[in-house]
Amino acid sequence: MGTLLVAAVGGLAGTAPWITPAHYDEASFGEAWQFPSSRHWLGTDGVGRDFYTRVVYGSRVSLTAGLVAQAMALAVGLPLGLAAGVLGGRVDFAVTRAVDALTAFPQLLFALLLMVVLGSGLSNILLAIGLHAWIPICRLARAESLREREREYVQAATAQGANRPRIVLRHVLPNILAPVVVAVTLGIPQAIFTEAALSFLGLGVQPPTPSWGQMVGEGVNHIRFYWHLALFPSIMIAVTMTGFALLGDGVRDALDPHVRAR
Amino acid sequence: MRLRAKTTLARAAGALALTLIAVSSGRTPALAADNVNSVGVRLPADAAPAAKQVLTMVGREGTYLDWGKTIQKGQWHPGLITEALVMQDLNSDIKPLAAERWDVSKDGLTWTFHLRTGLVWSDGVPLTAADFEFTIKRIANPETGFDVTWYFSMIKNMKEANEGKAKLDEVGATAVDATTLRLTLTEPTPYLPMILSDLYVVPRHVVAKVGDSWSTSPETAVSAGPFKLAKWDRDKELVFVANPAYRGIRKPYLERIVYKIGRDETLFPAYLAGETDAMPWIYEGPLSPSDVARIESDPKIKKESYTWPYFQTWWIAFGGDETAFKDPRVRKAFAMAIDRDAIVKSVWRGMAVPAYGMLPNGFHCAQPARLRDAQPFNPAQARKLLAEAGFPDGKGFPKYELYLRAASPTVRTTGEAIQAMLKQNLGVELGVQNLERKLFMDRLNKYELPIVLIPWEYDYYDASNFMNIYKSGGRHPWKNADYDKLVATGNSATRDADRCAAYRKAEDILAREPAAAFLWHPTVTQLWKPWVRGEILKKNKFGIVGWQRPSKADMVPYIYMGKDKP
Repeated sequence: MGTLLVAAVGGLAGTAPWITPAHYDEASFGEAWQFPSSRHWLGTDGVGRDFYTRVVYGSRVSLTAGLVAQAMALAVGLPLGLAAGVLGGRVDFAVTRAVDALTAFPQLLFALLLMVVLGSGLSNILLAIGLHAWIPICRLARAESLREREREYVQAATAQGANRPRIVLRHVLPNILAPVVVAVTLGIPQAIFTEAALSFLGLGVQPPTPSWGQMVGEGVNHIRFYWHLALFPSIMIAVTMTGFALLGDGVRDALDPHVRAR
Repeated sequence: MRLRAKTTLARAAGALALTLIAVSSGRTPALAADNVNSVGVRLPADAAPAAKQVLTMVGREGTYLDWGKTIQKGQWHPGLITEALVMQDLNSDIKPLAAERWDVSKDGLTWTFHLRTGLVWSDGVPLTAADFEFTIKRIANPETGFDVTWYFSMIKNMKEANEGKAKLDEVGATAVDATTLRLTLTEPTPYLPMILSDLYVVPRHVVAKVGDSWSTSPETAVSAGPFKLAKWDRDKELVFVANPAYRGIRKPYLERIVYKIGRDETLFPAYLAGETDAMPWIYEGPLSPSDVARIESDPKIKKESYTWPYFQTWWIAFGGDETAFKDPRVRKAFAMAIDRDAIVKSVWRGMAVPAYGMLPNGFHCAQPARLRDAQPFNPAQARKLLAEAGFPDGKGFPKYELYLRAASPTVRTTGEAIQAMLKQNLGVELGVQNLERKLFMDRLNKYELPIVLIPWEYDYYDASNFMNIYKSGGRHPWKNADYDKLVATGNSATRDADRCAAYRKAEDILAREPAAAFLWHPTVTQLWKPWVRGEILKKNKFGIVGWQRPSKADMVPYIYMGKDKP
């Protein structure tokens, strides 16, 4: 189910130019504030832009936020966690203190503060989310590699004269990858939500680029009459987050030997 | 017999005193134990009991109540706890307030205001001309950080002192004695009393002791106005109660005013939920087209709504010489690439009329029809002008942000509409950024913003109120010597026809050069419950039934709650 939902949203994002009647910032002022109809399936916004088009294009921002931010989190969190777990000592101390310090900030608050400093825009959002999202990945990678480094097969490899990079890359990394992949997948909906929240608050993606969070933020101001402006992007956020959450569960079920054993 | 005569004499004296109080307060005195409020004002026959004389509204959160410190970060309704020299009535006519009369020298440069005797602050300290002198010099002082010192720049050395080029002692405000204030001007300014209706006196003795935070807590916020601060629970609630020490002419019917602090977007929902009695705010247009559609579709709410074309103009103001807008062809191209009719019809759903110049229709000296051809919507011509300025199809044009000031949802949508029009018609890419009010104004006053969407709402019914904005050294960096001369002529001429002729020529320069791209004048919709009564229900000389100058509290002392208040 999760795969289906994610594939559907991914399909929308990938085919947006071909399945929409206009460009997302194409305004037709004479058609502003229209309710859903056969001409405009999801209605139009206050500038006369086709809302279906904007909702479809909005999937690109959400997916980009989710995937790129988690990729950044993986790129930073995994090596740092591995290094801390395997090397120990000062490296472990430094990484652990950094993780502890950043954990003190809730992710949304951290992203908010960063956006105020950096200014709005998609690249800054990715940075703001990614700079916090690596923490759980790093923590997990450290804990797993601490455990793995004490295992017999690692000690055997050490006894056979394998150097440290080889031990890390050939022995420890493959064995900690499964839980890390699960954590990354489960982090995607969180990143999508953070992007939506930032854009909802006006600190995220700036107009005319469509983002579901920004559309909901604008739409709630008109919900007493033009209900469609908040409803459809809200549904899309919910569907996408559910899709990735289910997908994450599925990945965990597939990769976790304990669950598999049952 | 002698005793009875003495008693009769005493009663007569008492009645005379009460009559005098009544005349001076503009209210009927309480002669019997009828419906009288805590400050001795007898309530109208259809009024609720004094205990129910509570007006609840949503207000915005500000840092101070003191508008002499900052307007942009001030709470609305500064006139509740302070007194200006003069006031504006329902018809926007000037009436004496703290000053009972004033004289003007023959050359029009010296104004002498004579204060009423007996005025006091709520802590019992007399309110004197020295307080007004202090207030004016404090506004001029750059350390105060007042946002709109230029507004009072006709007072001698006001601007110079603010720029550090003159001493504060040289500012043209002098307390001759306790009840006489003399103002010296740089040019004759016949409309000076209108300007002074927004000069809110501060308590010199408290500011000297407490500093700029004097207006932030009930302990130090002494009042010279009809109300005094009772409670300020930050971000939650602001409460004023009638000021028993008030000796002016605006004794209120209301016992209490409660502001629930909230953003503009909460005004309408709070009103619909019955949490507030009135929704007078209009400055940034808190009602969206969807709200108006909701009002139109509900007969009960429609009956509680009051709509009229407002004296407010929205326009795009451009940056100075360091921006691409230094070229008038670029400014004209922008002005001609924006379809103001489409903005009014589509975005605002008819809650506005197109603006062709600065002065709104019906305002002093306004003649908007003559400017219809000044900035016509003509994308082809606009594109040509931009190409002539060196940016064919928008190529090479810098990417600017269009800045909005604490914009309401509809203004934000308008910003996006302008963004789309400029892209479609000129090929120019523009960002849209919404800034916090004070930050926006600080940057605007320093001429740091390259392009802004901004309104001006009338403070007083005189064309100078709008035309002075674009004088050199005013709010915007644009400069034009001919414009300055014409506005100076309009400001100082005594015959209204001469003044209007000069202002119209100046407005022609603004619209045709152009200095700005004029966009729309909003139609305002206010709401108040059926039990909110008083002067707001009277039709004024402009034919409007509405809460005039709602941000300034002129009408608040004249509002009362009817018997039907739940």
